[in-house]
Amino acid sequence: MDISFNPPHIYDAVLRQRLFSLFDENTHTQNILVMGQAAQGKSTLVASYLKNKKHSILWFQLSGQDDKHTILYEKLALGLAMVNDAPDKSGISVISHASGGPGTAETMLIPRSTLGAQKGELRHFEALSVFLTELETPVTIVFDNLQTIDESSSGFLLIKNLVDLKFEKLKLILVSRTLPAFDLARLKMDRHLFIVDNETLAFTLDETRTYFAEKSTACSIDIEKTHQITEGWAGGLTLVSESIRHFKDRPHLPDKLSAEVFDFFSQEIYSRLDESTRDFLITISVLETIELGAVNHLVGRPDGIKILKNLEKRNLFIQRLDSGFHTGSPKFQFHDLFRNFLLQDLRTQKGENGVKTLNYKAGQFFWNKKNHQQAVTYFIHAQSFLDIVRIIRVKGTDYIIKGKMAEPERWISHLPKSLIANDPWLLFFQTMTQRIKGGKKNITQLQKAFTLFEQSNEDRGVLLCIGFLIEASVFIRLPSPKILEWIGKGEKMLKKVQASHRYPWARALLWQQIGLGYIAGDGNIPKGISACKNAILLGNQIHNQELIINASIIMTFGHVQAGDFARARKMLTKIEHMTYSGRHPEYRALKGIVDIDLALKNGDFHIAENLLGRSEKDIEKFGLIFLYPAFVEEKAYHLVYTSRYDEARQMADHLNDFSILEGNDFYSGISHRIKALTDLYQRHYKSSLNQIKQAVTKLDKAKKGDIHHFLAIQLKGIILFSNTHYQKAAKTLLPALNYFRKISSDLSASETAIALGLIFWARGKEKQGFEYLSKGFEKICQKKYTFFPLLDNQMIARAILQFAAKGLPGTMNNHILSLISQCGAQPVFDQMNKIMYGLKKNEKLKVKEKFRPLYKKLLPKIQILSLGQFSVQIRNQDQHRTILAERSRPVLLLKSIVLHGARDIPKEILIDNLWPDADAESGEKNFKINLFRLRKTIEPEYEKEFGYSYIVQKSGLISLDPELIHIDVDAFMAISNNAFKKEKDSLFEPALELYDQAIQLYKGDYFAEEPYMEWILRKRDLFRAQFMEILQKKAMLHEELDQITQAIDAWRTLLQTDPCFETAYQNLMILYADSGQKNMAQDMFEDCKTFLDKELGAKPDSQTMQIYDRIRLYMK
Amino acid sequence: MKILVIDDEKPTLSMFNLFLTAYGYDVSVARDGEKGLDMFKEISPDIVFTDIKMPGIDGLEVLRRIRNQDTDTQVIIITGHGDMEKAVEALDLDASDFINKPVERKALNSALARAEKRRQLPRNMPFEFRSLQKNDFLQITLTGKLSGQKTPDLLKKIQENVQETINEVHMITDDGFSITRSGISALMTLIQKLRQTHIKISIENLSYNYIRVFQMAGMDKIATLVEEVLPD
Repeated sequence: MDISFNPPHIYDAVLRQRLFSLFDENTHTQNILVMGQAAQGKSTLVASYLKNKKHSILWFQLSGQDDKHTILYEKLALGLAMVNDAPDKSGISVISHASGGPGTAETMLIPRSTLGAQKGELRHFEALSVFLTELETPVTIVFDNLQTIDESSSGFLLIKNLVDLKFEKLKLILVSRTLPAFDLARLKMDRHLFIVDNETLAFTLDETRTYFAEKSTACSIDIEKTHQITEGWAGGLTLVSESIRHFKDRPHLPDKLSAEVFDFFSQEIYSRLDESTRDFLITISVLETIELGAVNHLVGRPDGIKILKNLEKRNLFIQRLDSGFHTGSPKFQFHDLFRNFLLQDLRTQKGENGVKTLNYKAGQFFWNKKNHQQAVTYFIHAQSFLDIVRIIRVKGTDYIIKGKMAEPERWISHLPKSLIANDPWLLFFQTMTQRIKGGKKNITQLQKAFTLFEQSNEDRGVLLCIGFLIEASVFIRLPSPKILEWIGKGEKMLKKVQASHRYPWARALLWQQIGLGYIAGDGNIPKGISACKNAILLGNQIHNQELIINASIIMTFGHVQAGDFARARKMLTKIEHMTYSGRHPEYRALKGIVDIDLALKNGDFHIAENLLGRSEKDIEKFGLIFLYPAFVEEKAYHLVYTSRYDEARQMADHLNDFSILEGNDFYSGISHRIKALTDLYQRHYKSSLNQIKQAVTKLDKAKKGDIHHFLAIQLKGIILFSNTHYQKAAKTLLPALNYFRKISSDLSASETAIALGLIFWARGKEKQGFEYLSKGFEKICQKKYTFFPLLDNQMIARAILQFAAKGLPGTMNNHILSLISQCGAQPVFDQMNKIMYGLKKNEKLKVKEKFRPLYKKLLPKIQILSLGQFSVQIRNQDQHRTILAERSRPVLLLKSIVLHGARDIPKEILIDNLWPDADAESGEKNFKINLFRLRKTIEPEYEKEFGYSYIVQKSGLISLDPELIHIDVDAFMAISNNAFKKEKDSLFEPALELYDQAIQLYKGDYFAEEPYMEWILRKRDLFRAQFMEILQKKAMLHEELDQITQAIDAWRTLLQTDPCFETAYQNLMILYADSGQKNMAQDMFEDCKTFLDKELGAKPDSQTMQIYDRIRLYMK
Repeated sequence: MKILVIDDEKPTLSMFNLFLTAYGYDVSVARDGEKGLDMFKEISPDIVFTDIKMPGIDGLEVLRRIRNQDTDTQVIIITGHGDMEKAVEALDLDASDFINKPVERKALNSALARAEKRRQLPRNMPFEFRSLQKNDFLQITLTGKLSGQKTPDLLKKIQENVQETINEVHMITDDGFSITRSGISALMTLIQKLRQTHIKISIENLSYNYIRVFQMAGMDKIATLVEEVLPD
């Protein structure tokens, strides 16, 4: 692709400050539309405005070719990639790149669709949006000649999309003769578009004066009249100026000059030129872009450049696109009105054949220069079909590889149908321009091409044709035998060419399509995955990333289809680096589904819901039909797990509908499985069993791989177990367990093992039951599973308790202990009682002690707040309430326990604290009564078997259970000491975080409501000193880190606790003075003086005075 | 080719959208009859699929309003499972075809093929038939819209041609053939009369969905119904 992104060269332009100011005033508006009639000076205005701007400018001269969004996108991608490569450039000077050459926009290549069929432009819109959002430096894009694009075309949609969206670093200037079909009212209302219209563009009288002041013709002209008759039309001003230059004696100007008289003036000026110049001009009018090489090839006139420069100097009908500074060859372009005028004359002078001959010569010139795109354009005008065919054959495959079929599509559209019908390559390339979207027609056309290729023994053509025939057959849902027929032919062909090592890309592509055929067409996942592996292998050999990623995506899809999310996840991680953000919707959607599965298995339903929403959007937007059933399946499971059973059934029905439309039983099997699971959750065991039986029948393990089959078997086993058919359940689950272990599907294996453990236990085989439970819990703890899709809380509770009862005391893993708390207290207590019922006393005692840690896990935690207002709060998942706050004897007893460290306090100490005057007997009695009241308040409903748990009395020693009761001072001391350590280890940020946590905990003095209890004072001072130290250390650390505001805050907090802390005043004075707040520094000194005097009757020490003096000196 | 799908059930809409796009059609969707008709005006689709049961403007009303416009658009009605009564009502209103939910692939393909063919034919084709005698059977090709009024002509023609040598009558429906409720009823009466003379009747080249209607009417008990052969 040979493109210049330069603004047109401006020669002798009037600098229109009035309009420049308008642009500047709207500098924050992303879009500017410059709209005016032909030759109104639109491009000149924009180019002269941008001339001295110091940021990157991409100027696009639009034409009808840009109707295709793919062509326009390709140009944009190229330009933007260059801006990205050279962000510090103050404008793109010369940009001319050969298509596919080094440095092109590889990262903006649009990925080939593998699992979707939706309109291609969406992929382009998205890729462009991502790229523009990530722009690091400002870029101005100018779309000149916007009116040449068809407003119903995809190219126009691409521009409209850019205009609608907001990009921080983008400025878009649209230059058009007509008002484009944007939602102008909304854009203007949102201040997202500013319009410079025809009237605003028109030259004012002053500007007209400036215009003619710079012309030699100025003296002989009535400027006011000229302004009046041209109505400020820039083209008119040029024509008047030129006419006067030629016809100084012209007595009168017409009453009105407008674009309609352009031809008249052109003719007059043109006819004054000498014949050879006229001949020169009409000859080169065939060139869309006038470059000297082509000019010389066409006319061979050495003074061509002189003529062109002369026209440019007079601002007459021509503009320079490229200065030629870097290439040595300037490029020009005729004003299109004048070019049409010249072409008309060329036809008259030389006839249609003459025009064709010139175009043919131009085509040859560009072909020799290896610019095949330009060459084809001229060969099309020359109707030199054989040359076009030759180029398509040579270059066509490159375009397929890059997935850019818009250009070949345009070329082929100019060829006669008869030529295409008998040429396999043309047939093939023509079909490729309609890849997927051509539907059934593609099959017919590809079959025809295939036959022709076979007849002419063109192996490469045969390979490619079969590949795309498989793809087309899969997309239009041909029956599996038909797809297998093509796969068979493909495999045979691959075998044939394997030895020659030729056509690696075509072979890789065919393997990829065979993979798609097996997975999405026939449902034979193992074979599909194997084919994809071959494609990846070949893709690696030829370093074709696109092919590797596409084959990988299909392979991942195979794993997802097979329910093998672990492998799918691995695969996605492997290819993650190969996909740029937003480039592969398939990758994103697949990753979405795999992540949903993981979120569901982890019980993260909110995350799963968000991911489901995103996946649905991608699937619909990009038509990713093959991913749709997997999405519906995950959505249905989400609904089941979140107890939306009716909706889950509707989803299952929908999956069944899909299965019917798809014409295979597989999704119907999944649908039955979902319904069975829904019924199981609702304890409708009979219908659940009925559903799962149908699922097992339909989920044949032969093709789809075994996972879905065994998942159905597993569910069947658990339904049988729930239905108390223990023997049948065990028989069903055992092979499932073996299978899940074999494929390392840990969650499924754990669930199955737990279910088997419970089954054996229920059948009185406790030893075997314990073994299965051990295995199940081993994995559960290892993987930290907390959600079990198939096991309800009662099953989990029973499993944990049976495991605990049979296991060694004290061996319960923390993870298992945490699992019990999610089962709900009452069901667990019920199960405990069931298990202990009927046990002998000794045995019961043993089991009870094994259960105690589990029992404690079910009790709510209690928080004792002693820093500030004393309170006791109960904390569990549902509630957080204060249960003790008022001052009473039981509360004082609790305070005393807390004060003495909460562990192993001899009751005599507590009695002595609370009832110092009582004799031993009444003290003991008081203690008993108040301890009972305290326990009853904290633990009103306790399980008899386990007794009171929070306050423990053992051998005359009283303790608060540290697992159940947390005391704020413990946390305060632990956190602050940890913070000191972190600071000592130079871990400043973590230290500061811990200081903040400790400060949060210190809500006031220790037992603040008991100011006169002497036995509290010592500890109160200890915690206060700790708090002061924290604040001091925090403040000083902030100072060291130059965090002045935070340091000031810390010192000020410290002063709230101790207003006489002189170090704080000293530091604050320095901090304020250093940050220029001298008055605040002085105020600090005054506060210090006042407080010291008031509280201690003292004066500031010498160090404070020195600081103060320095500040005063500085202030003076 | 542009297709508009109108259905108030989002999953059904998504499914149609995905399938038809994969088939290579340019698909637009609307969640209700009103939006569907607006979109119809905007995009002028070649084929419209509309669910029959929707809140507000239902599928039959959508069909009526589209038929009131001068357009070649083919309308395919989506009916609930076994809701043949509505399907026949739709055919009376000149629906191109109907498909039952859950939609089978064969039904969808058949409806699409029929709609695409009918788009190539002139609108409101009058009912016509041609007969051709071959040895012991009579072949009658039917085209256009068959209503109750037209069957006496057909019967007369058959009776004229039925000679003692004729054992079978093969009625071949072509792409332009359609039938109304009264047409079905009259056709059944005609077939029964012919059967009294021990002539075997077959109706051939019927679309997949037409066979469902004929089966519901009991036509399969008195005549052999032969489905059209669709290319892959």
